[in-house]
Amino acid sequence: MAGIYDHLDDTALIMTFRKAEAREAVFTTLVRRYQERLYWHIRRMVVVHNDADDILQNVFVKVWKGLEGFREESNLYTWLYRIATNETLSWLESQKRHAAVPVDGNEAFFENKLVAQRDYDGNRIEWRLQQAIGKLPDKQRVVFNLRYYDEMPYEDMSRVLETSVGALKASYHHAVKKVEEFLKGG
Amino acid sequence: MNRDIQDELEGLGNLPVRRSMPYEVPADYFLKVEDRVKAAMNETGTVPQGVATPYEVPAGYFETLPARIIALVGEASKRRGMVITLRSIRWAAAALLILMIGAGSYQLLDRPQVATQEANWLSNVDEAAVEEYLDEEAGVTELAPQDGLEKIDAGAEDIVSYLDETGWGENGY
Repeated sequence: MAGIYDHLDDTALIMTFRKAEAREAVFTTLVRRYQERLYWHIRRMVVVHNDADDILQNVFVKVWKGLEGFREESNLYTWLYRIATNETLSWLESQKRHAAVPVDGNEAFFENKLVAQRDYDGNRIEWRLQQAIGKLPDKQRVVFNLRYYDEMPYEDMSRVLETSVGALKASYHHAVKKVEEFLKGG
Repeated sequence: MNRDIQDELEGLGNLPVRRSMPYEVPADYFLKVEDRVKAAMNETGTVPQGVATPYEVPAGYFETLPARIIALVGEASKRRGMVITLRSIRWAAAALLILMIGAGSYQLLDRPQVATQEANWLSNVDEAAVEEYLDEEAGVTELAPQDGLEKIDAGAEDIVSYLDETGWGENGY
């Protein structure tokens, strides 16, 4: 069902959000516009749907609380991704702390969740790629996912991750090398 | 002046003029160069492109998510004012404990001053008032030593004898 504010661009949405009577309808539009992108960004990091759903809800609650005061120094899209990335990385940190995951146990932590997914098939390329990506450190995995799946320009990624473009390119280059090695290794 | 290099080399005497390089090249090298250059230009290297994420999403998830989010933020907005959490209770209890310890310490440390104050107050009380109080409350009538001594009917010998008996004389303690 189309919303009455669906035709507004992000800047107009933010301005309209500041009117109390329009807030809910505007926010619904915003959620519909970005929910899938943010969901998949989170899901690729945490694997399990219910975990991604929890994090995504927290993200949108934070967006609701912060949107009125949002200043357009960065655009809405990078701001949303930044919140989603930070919430996801914090969640992962917290999960590993509670599970007492050792420093070198990151791969097993991800792998266990992957093989538990329905229809998991280690012979298919899409699952093998996830296995390869799962072996990357969390922040490098974010960089790879944003570039490979979201095709995010490095300049936008720099605003999302608050890291220089050069560092991100280097990180992505290393990530690709590791993924390649894993896929070739069989 | 432009001179042909070969002419120049021939002019150097018996030096052999060879165009071929003496180095060996791996077999099929040049057949693979094109692929390697393309791979280097392609940012993802040999990682296959366009591979989808294989995870499933429950049916209708994205259709119902906006309404769930609106319900959630609605509840968050209703919770206004100070949120009393276990953490805030702990902080309040710690502050109260410190206050109580501080107040108790003040009471204990301040006693000598109070005692001094009481002594100062007593020293300012008139002696006549103290005698009057003792007369009325304790039944003590005469305090001045000279008054008491005058009423004792005893000579000096009696006094010396008394002192000897009680051990306060010359041969006493």
